[in-house]
Amino acid sequence: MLLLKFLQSLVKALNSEGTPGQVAAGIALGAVFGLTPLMNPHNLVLFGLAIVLNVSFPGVLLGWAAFVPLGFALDPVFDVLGRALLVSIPALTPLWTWAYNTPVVALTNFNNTVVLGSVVVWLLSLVPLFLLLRWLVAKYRAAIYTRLQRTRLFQVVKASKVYNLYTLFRP
Amino acid sequence: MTVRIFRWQGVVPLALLLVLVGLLYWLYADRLVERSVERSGAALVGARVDVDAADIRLTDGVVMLRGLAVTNPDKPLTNLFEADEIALNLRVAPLLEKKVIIDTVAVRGMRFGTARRESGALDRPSETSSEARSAIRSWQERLPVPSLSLEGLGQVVNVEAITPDSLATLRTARALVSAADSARGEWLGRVQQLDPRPAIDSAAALAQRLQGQSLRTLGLAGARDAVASARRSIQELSALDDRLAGLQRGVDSSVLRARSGLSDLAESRRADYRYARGLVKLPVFDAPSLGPALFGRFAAEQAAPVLYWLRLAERYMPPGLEARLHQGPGRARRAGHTVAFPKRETLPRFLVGLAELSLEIGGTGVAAGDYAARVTDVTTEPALVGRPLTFQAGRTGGQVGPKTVRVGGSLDHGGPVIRDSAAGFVSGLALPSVTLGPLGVELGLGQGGVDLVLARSGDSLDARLAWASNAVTWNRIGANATPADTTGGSVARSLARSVEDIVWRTVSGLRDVRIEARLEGSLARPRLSVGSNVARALADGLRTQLGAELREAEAQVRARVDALMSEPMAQAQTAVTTFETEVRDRVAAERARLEQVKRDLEARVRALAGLGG
Repeated sequence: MLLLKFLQSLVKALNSEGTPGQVAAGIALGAVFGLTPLMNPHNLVLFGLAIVLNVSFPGVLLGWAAFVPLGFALDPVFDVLGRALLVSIPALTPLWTWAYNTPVVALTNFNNTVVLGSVVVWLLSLVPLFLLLRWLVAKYRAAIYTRLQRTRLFQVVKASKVYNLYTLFRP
Repeated sequence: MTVRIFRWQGVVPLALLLVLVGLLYWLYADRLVERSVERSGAALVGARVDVDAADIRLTDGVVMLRGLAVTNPDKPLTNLFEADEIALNLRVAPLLEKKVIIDTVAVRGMRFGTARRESGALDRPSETSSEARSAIRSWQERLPVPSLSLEGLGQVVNVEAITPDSLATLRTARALVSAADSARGEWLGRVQQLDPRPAIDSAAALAQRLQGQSLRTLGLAGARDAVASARRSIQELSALDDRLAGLQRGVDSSVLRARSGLSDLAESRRADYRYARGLVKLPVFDAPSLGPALFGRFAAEQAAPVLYWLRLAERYMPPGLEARLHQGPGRARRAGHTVAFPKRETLPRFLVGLAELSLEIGGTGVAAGDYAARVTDVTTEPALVGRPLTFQAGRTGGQVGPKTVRVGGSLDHGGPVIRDSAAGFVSGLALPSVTLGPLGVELGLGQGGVDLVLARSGDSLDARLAWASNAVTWNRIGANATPADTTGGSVARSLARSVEDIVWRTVSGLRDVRIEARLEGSLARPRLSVGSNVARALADGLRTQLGAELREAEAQVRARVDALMSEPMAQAQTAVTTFETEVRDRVAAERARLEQVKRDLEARVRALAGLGG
């Protein structure tokens, strides 16, 4: 419950008005926390960016939660991709060698097959994901959300505490 | 509507987040180091590593570890060693490159072989340690250690157990008979196919016709035709002789193979003698066979940790600078693999410049006392350091007993070829007991010394291990066990009744025991040879006590084998001889007749040409 209150206040503080683009950007950014192994420095930097960039913070949390199962499921793919990039492409070896021997960069764990593979997949999917989500959110607001608001169940739910939870994910 | 990119209200939460991260680091950095040491150590050793507490003072570049306990991977309820306190002086700047460069390590209060409260076995050991362990287990399982059974002694030798079908010589002899008969048939067939007789007969008839003829009797034209005809025949005979010569070479080679088969029969017969001895359970009582039979498994078990650590050293200190894959960190997500990209003139991933250890072995044994050890240049990238890892240990102050601890060596992995060497002698160690099951005795080695000399170059290993003790104990085990009696009197009385008594009397008088093992060959599958004064004494004793009985039993076995083999071997000999004489004689006879006819024709030609003869 405390966590919910904290998140509610966070939502109020950070995201009073959210456009479909902001929500889509938030989800796309949040996807990185689900797709890539969490305890890595790049996630700290991106989390900081999620706070200071004007994206939907609930969207970030939604993206995080939604992509965690996908991250686990795609780990074998990330492993293979990361291994291919790190080991099987000699042209990239000088880049990795430089990064491996460069202060701070070396701390990013880029040389782990799963970390590199998942980050690359996230980067490649970032723009398409953003565009797709923006279209979906706009559709949702225009078609579903307005209809949902008129339903009796929604009115009941809105009056209850469950609605507070729902508002977390409301655009 | 324009949307601002930055959310300035977020600066405060961001600052709070950073403060939170800093606070967490301040609170949990020590625990983080503890966990890292425990995790890395466990991956390295292949068993649990525990640290009671860690204290980091990054500003001073000092890390203190307290209560380090490293489980012995071979004995999960025993620690390989424990250390009260470890002080590390490390460089701070390389940490930003994720490289741990430790200039000095001081280890105090080190103890070996201490008991653990709980098992230190890992549910999921690292890939590297699992691979090393599995490779060594496979080597141990496939090691050809001869078995020793005394079951056949003291019993009536049942030579009827040796059946014709069980002897390899019989199978070989039958195969040889078949091969010789088949070769004989084949070569005779070829001679038949060549069919030299019509050509020789025709030439002989011509020679006969020209016998006594001259230019005068045949006329000029007749003589010219006769000479031309004789020359044609001579040419045909020469071509035929060439073909017969080729055939003869083939026959000679085939005969040689058949004769070699007869030599193999002799070797096969010797193998059958050995096999038949085993079949009637007659043991071999020579020291070179007894040594591995008695102590082969013990030596392999004792040598296994040496091979294990050599393999781990190779894996964690690989030569060269190619990119290397290591298992990734343990986490809920897949660990993946972490790749190292070493580069010349940069720092290695891990380096301990100098580690000094003070060891204490407690108790009142001869090994009790204080020891000092020194290790230099422990690194994950030896090629970057350019110096071999060296280690040496010795006693600095003994409480009791002699000062006999010398351990030293180096692991040179800097070049393309790995060169490891080590030598050590430690006395006063509690040596294990060895169960000599077939003999019905257990040898307690007690406190003794271990000697090791090891050299490795590339994949080639040459190591000698020796265990020596001058205070061994012997115990009888098994159903007929009687209280240990080393006086020899009562044992001597029961000598005639039981083979085990003979063994007991032979070994129980031994107080000094030395077991020597040698590992040679490739590191992956080294050959093991084992010798011991126990084996020599036992061989002498058993030969003395059981020589007559053994010789008689052996004679019975040989007689039985000879009886079973004599007929097939004679058949094989006959088949080969028949093949040789029949085919060779046939070819030789044809060639001799051909040669004679050829000479006659040449004489007729010379006579007709007026050259005489």
